Amino acid sequence: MADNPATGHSRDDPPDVGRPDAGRPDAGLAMAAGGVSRALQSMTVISQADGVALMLADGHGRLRAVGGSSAEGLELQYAEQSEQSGPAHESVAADRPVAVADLRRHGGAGYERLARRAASVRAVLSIPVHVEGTATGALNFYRRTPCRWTSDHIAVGEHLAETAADLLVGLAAAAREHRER
Amino acid sequence: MHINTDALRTSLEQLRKSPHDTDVVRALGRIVGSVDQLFGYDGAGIMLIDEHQRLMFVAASDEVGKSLEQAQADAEQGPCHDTYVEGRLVTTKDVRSDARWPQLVELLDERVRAVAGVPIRLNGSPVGTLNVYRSEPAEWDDSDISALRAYAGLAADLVTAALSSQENSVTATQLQYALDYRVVIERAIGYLMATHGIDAVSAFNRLRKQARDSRRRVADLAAEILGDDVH
Repeated sequence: MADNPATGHSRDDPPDVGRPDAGRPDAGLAMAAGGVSRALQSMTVISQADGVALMLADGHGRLRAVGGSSAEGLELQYAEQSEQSGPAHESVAADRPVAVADLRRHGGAGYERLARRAASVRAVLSIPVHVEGTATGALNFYRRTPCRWTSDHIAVGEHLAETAADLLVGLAAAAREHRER
Repeated sequence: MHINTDALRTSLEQLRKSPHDTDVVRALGRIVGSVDQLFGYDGAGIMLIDEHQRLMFVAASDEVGKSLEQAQADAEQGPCHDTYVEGRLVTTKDVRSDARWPQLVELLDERVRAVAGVPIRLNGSPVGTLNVYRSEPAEWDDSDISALRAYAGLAADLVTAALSSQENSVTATQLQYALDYRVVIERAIGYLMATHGIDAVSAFNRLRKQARDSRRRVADLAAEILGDDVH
């Protein structure tokens, strides 16, 4: 099953994801996708960043791109997934916030490639998302211009990462309920 | 929508493998804590309707803010009350001098001054409110309102997930009941507004009082008024 970074969808996605329909087998997944999408939009407003994106672990210890409030956010996550490096990976590995003021000036081969692939994104703040104490992914706030992330930005990010964890747990339970119906 | 549904499906399946607590009240409490701490208000709270169409606090940052619930319930008026009934943003620079709610002043903690409320909507219908207050008179600017609306959206997504997962909590059960009968209640409010020439808040209060006086559920009375059968 191949991901399509251009559309943000995998080849076997249902064609009408985002319009929950209780009659379809993937209604739970569609509902979850809609919930994550709306939450990323809300978090963009709250954080006053240019966008927010999400990476989550896949069960084999790999972080995968899950979503972005904009196409550039999802592209950033696909770039990190492809490079297997970047602020989200560092954040989850070290279990702490990682702030990058400018991807192009951060240094390191991985970051150079990341900056080229996600060219419209310059600054990134990655915050681990904890479920039951374990970092299961990262919430990534990004800006199109270089930015010095402050302690206030990090505080907002940490609060929103907690809410992201609550929402993901709720969506997982809801998706299971849909599947069992 | 920019979502990789394949990766989302995989991650949700991982989360499903181990049991996690899905307490929506605790999650809403975290939202209230965030709003309160991050934006420098003096207090915040979330109220949701119960099966009697009463706005009840499910999370509040402090006891002073909680007085908003009881005071508005007793006065049957107030900014959060209007936010829910009219399904729109309601703000006041100083609730104590606001002519819209004259009976509230006597009942409300004097430390509650500037108040803002935004509706929490499920499927387009309001089911509760996110409220913040300041202890001094103050104007509410666009950034306050944008952030509050965004937080109300997050709260709605948490509640939606809880209801979809059939979370077995009192809050979820009450909310599901209220949601199930929201349409018939809204129709009855519209009917009362048209027939008695009153506004939405007055129609809502009349409906609730009549239900309380006759010891019936608001939804049952609403259906009777409309000539429907809710069962």
